[in-house]
Amino acid sequence: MNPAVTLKPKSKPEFRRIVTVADQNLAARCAHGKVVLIDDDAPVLDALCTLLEMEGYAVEAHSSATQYLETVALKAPQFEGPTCMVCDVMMPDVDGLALQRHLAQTDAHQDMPMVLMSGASGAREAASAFKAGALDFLVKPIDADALLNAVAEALDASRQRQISHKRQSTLAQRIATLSAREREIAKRVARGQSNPSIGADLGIALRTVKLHRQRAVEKLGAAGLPDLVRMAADGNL
Amino acid sequence: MANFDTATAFLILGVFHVLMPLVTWLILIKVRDAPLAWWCGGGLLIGVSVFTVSIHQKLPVWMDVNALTALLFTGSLMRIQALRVDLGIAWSARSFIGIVVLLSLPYYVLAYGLQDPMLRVMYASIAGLVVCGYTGALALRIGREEQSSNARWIAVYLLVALAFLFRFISLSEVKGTPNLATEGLTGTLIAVAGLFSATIANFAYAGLALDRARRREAALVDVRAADTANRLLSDQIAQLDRQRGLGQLSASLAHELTQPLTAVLTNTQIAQRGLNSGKLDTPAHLELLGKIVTSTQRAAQIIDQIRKYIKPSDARHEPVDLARLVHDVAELLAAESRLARTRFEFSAITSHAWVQGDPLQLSQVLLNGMKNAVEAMTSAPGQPIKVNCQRVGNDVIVQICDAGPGLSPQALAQAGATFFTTKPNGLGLGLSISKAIAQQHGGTLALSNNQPALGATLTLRLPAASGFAATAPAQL
Repeated sequence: MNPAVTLKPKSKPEFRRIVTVADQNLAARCAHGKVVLIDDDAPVLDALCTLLEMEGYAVEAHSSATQYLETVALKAPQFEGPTCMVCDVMMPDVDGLALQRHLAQTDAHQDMPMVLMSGASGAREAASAFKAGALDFLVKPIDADALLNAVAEALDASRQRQISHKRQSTLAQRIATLSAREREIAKRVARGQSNPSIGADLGIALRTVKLHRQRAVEKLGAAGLPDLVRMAADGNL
Repeated sequence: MANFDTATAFLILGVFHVLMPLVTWLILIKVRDAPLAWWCGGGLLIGVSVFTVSIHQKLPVWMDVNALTALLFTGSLMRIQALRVDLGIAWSARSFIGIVVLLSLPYYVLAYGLQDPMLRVMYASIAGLVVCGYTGALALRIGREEQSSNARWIAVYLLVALAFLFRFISLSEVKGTPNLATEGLTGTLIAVAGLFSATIANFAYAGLALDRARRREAALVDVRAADTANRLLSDQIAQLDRQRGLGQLSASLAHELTQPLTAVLTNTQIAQRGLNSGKLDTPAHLELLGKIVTSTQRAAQIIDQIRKYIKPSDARHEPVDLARLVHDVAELLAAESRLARTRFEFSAITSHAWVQGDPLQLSQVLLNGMKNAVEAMTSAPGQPIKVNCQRVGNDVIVQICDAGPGLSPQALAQAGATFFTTKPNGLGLGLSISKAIAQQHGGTLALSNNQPALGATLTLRLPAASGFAATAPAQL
């Protein structure tokens, strides 16, 4: 049931294919949003899971950070959609803040914003959580509306990040198709050099310059000069 | 003075001197102690010797001399010893014998060596003067130090000393062998003084003995009062220690309580949404309500544990199940142990381990021990703390075994001493209070390092409650 192995250099898992009806439901939920829920207290985990599923999200519940990381290591393919993490801070083994640090270091899930929860509202805890990039810090007992708002915000952020990531990778792909000459010319055009001056610098004819420029613009799919300038900046031409 | 038969006087004196100490000894049966024994014994010997003075004419000379020396000197010195014991400066056995010999030797020398009756008698008078004078002086000293008027009356002995002095002076007029029984004035003086001393001094000494007994009673009452005050104070300290321990746990306890409360809040809000949206059916709602009930009960349980622990109460004496107590305390420490990345592992725990005692105090001992174990485990995260609770023979043994750094030899030697602690914020009272509680329950508490592994083990041993069958150990 696993899809064909991709030739992409990145280690990101390929998206999962829909096969069964259950898959269909799950895929729909994931498209709405997937929440990775981590809490060591079983009743709390159960209650939060029920609440989020009622809202239509797909919930992946774990009772410890270690369990979650084991699942991640399996690199199972996932359905497409925004994801976020809701994690308790005070846990045995790896606690929420340590997990946050670990994820930041491994760079694997920058698409997954974190919402942290805590039973004891330590100001220091909250401060370090926010400094490490957490989206929100909720104090137990958590109000349902507060949690759902935080999750919605986090999924939104995740969606934005996913879009920008996709755009970035598409751009990188396109830039990779440029030849060296095309690339050089595109860079100079984006910097504002006129065609004649480019021809003079590189020692080629004006007609050649124009040809390379047209090919570069086509390959990059730029709509106009401003677009090209933006792509040059984003793609680190 | 011819009508006054000195011999008879001395006879009566002798009888008196024998009778009075005897009666005193018999009557003061309840307050008999060493000084009284010395006094009465000494009095007895003096009495017998005085008796011989009256009948010495009928005695062979050698007996007369020996009786006087042995009995009189020893008896007088015994009375002096009685007073010295009271003052706390008693002569040792060797010194006593030495002084007796020292006092008697010149007399023997004069009696047998030089064979000079005059000198002998003169020496006797001087000796009598010195001895009685010293007795009086000691009596006055006791009177001053103990503020006792009884003691001062004993100084009537000084009269006897004076009488001896008078005799010594008057000896110059005597011709031939001096004989106390026939010397009119001096005999009378000595007899009278002797009579006074026999009665007054004896009564006074009896009073002194009663004073001493009363003082001992008062001291005993003081000791008992101090003991009670001590116990009350240690109860208060134990109570404060409990509160402080609970205060330190409060952060983790608050976290412990918020877990069930979170479950309650979330499940309630789910139910509300379910009812509003109609997305959930009745069985689902009933399930939610069931979960709410469970979580609320859990929160109530935690609060109950806290309340039981913190409530001050007089020490109870009832059957306590230590195995159950161990579980309860482990629950109280659940959050704390999670924070320290450890957990309690119960091995070899019998289902019931009954002892007699106060459940609150015993839970305090367990809490202190298990909390110390948790704190020791910060250096060995991930490993469990092993807790045993078994009945072994007539005892119930609880062992709390951590895998921390263990104790240095100095720490091990001093553990349990009040105000000794290895913790930066510690008061150093927990272990000493726990030890005291264990002892009060007839048991022991000991701390030792694990061999060969790292860590320390706290062993609590208490006598098992009789009447409860030992149940087979259950693996938990």
